[in-house]
Amino acid sequence: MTHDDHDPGTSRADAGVDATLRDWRRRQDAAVDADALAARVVAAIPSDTAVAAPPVERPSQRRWLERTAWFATGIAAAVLVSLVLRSPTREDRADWPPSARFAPGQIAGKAALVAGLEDTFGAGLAWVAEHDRRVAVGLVADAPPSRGVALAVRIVVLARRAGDSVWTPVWQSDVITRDEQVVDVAAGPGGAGRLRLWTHPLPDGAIAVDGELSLVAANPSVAASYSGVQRPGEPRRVTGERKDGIEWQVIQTVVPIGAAPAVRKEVS
Amino acid sequence: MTESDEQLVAAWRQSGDRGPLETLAARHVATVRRMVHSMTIDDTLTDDLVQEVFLKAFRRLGSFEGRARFTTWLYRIAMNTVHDAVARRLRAPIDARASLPLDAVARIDPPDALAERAEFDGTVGRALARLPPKFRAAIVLVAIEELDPADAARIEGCTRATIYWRLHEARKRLAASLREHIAP
Repeated sequence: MTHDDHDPGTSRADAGVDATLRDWRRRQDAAVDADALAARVVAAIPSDTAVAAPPVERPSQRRWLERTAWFATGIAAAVLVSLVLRSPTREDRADWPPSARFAPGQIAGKAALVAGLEDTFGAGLAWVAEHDRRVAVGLVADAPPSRGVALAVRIVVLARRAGDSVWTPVWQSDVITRDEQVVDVAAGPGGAGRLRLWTHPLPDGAIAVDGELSLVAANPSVAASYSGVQRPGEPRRVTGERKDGIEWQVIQTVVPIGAAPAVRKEVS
Repeated sequence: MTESDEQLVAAWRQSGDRGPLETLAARHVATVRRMVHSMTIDDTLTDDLVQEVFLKAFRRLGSFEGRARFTTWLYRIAMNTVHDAVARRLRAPIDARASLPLDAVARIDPPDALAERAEFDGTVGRALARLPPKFRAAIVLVAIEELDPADAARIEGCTRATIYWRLHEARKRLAASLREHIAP
């Protein structure tokens, strides 16, 4: 396994799990007759008449294909340029409402919230999510010895009718989580949807974030899975869609709050 | 000199001969079976799926362009086939019994050790089977098959960060399930 900037690495506990699995796997393979299975697969080949024959191209056919391919490439490039210019995926940051990013002082407020919750739940507090006028907390039974960097994540869903210039915030969540913690929380009207989030700060200061968001009973309904790397404090469009005359996009901002006094506190 | 997978594919393209296909099947059947079995924990289903994987691969071999390694391409077909099969079987829980390994252990271990080992293998199989398929795929590809996470991401059609996330969560859940069996 290679280790690069995005690899969180394996702990001793992880190595124990991996070794246990590999031992189990070796025992599973002990009685397997791979030769017999290979013979079965090979025997199935002639009886399966749909196995593709190697493609044979005639020279004239090849020239025609090349000309067609160049023509098609030109058309596709023109279409792509026009789509990019008109696409809802373009980051129109100027159009985003101010609530898409954390306002000055809000991070300190989040840190204070965490401090209050840690007084109650101690080091078992894994994450806090605020949305739909509720505060949800994630607890772990065994707090890890190193709790990693604390991060504030703001996720805002913006929507507008196709052709409108103004984006309207339709859903927002503020999450405080830690390095590699998996946040899994009900979301949206009636708690019928789900927000899952995983964050990992990288050595260069950027932050890798994986997210899954479903707002099933919302208008518009949102179903998105995304992952990427972003700079701290900079709102980023992570996903979006235009469907049935409605456009929506998800704007995400991540800010480390590890230096805040309340988050340094480990045990109440 | 042993021909590479890609050379075998090229040889098949030129000749249409079945020989290169037979070599590819013989070369990769064990790994594909291991991968598929780790995902299904079902011996009978596994062998049927392995056959399905190779037939699918050979049907599509004409479209293999060599942009990825042959194995990455083949394993992607294998995992997609498994994900489809698991989705089809969602109503029928995966049978986590591991019958074949028990026969193998019986030949070398005394009865007490056999029973203990059988119980342990069953526990591991059930713990794997309880993982959501995408988490299971990440742990099978990276922890058991020891593939590079970047290759695992290509096989699963997701980002490397997603593989890390799934791997992290899978390990955490397995550690909780297997706590009594894993040395601290």
